[in-house]
Amino acid sequence: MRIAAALFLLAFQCAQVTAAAGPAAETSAVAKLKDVKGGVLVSKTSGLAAGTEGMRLAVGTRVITTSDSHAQVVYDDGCHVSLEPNQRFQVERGRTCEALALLPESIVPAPAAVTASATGTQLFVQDVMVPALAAVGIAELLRRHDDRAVSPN
Amino acid sequence: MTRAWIALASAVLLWRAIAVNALLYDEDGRPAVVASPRALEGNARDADRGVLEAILRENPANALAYLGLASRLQAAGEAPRAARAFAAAYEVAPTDRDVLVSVAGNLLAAGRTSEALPLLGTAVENYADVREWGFAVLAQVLSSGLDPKAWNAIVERDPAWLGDFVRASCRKGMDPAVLAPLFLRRAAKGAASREETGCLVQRLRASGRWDEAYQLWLDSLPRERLADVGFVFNGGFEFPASGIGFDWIPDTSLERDSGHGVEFSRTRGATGERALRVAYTGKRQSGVPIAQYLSLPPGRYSLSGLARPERVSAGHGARWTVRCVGPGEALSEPVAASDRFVGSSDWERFAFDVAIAPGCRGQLLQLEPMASGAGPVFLAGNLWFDNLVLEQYH
Repeated sequence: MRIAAALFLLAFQCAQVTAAAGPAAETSAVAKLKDVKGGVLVSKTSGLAAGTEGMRLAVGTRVITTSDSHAQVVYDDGCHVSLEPNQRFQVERGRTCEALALLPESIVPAPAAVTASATGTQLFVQDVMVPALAAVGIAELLRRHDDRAVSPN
Repeated sequence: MTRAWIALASAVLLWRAIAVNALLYDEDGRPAVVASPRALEGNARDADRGVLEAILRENPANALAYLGLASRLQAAGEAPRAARAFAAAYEVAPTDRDVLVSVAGNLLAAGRTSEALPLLGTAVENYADVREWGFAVLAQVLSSGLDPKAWNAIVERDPAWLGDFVRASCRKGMDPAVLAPLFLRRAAKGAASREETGCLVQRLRASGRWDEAYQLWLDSLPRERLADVGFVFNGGFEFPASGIGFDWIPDTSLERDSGHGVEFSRTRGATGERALRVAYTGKRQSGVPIAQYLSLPPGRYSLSGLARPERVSAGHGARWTVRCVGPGEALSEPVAASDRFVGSSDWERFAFDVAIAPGCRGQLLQLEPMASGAGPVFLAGNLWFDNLVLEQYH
């Protein structure tokens, strides 16, 4: 009888623990990873670990993509957030889908060579500094060179 | 009569040869036609042009003569003809060092950097002595942010010199943000070298750009190493330390100088196959045997691990510390520290709390010898560590 009572008590406690942990986990996980390609990392209590297809994501989880990788965070309400290479995103809620889609941020600087337009500094570099550097360097290089491959004939 | 004609013809040819050689080479036999401004001065310039044009009529494939002519035309203000002469030189000798340098220089002087870049690339790829100058010019062009297509073409081809260019430019203090796009393309192909990664990450770290530093380091890791990055990377010491980025940085100085040696070796009772072993020689300690930069977000953590001291004596032992890293990689006082490891014991778990304040953007985890005062520290014995893990409290 005592054993049965103990077993009942144990089972009851287990059910209580499960009930407490289950809903908490369910409520904190609000999205999942989808279309994972390449090195996608997800924050855990011990730091970053590889993110996998279908992985559930709790509020506060950081998702990081590395170069040549991308992923989507799909919220349970159907909202999709796309992550391009070298971006990070922290899972949040309480924002509109449009606002969430704007949250991923680049972690590395944008390539200056691609985004820049010709500023005064750039033109100064192109028109003054580079030619000056080239002229000085060429004179020195040609002066030093004593092992020609071209014959004057 | 025939003999007289032969003698006259020989004399003319000899004069031509002397004249041409005097024009193209200096007294030491080095080419002087382009480099020497004196050769371009005064009336000699026109005469030189005549000789050069004659040479080219005889041998239209003489690249050096084209260069000389181009130089003289340029000095005479005849830019379009000079450009044609430079183009002709490149056409007949597209891999010649002086042709590449001269033609690229002419294009750069004309602001035609997109056309100059491939030539500069060929020059630095094939001629080591051109690299210092060529890299300086390439760095200026890259910094200007102009000609992205030409750069993209170079990066796409990923020539052998590109890694050297990234490393050399980084070491010379070029903004790592400018080099990052090149590095990332190379990293994605698995082509980025340890030296490139180390320099860029270190410079980003030193300038307080920890997020970018950490990301660049992540990008340099092979895919399989991304499976379990953790807050402490390779806390099980199963993989060799790279010594760069956010990996373990073991002291590589000689044991007789540092007073300690470091290795990741097999041992009994450790988790996995390997553990960290620090052997203290009993001599005066210089520096720390091993450290790792961390990029912990603000919050509270627990750092735990396994430790096994073996006859650690002749001092007060050693301890793990976490310090904040400030501008220029200056270290703060410890923000957290373990108990000291001394004496002998079997494997035992240890743990200590780590609190990271919002202003502490980057940290250094290191094994420090315990000092009793300001004097030198002596340590003897072995310290083993395994399974170091940092976990965040929620």
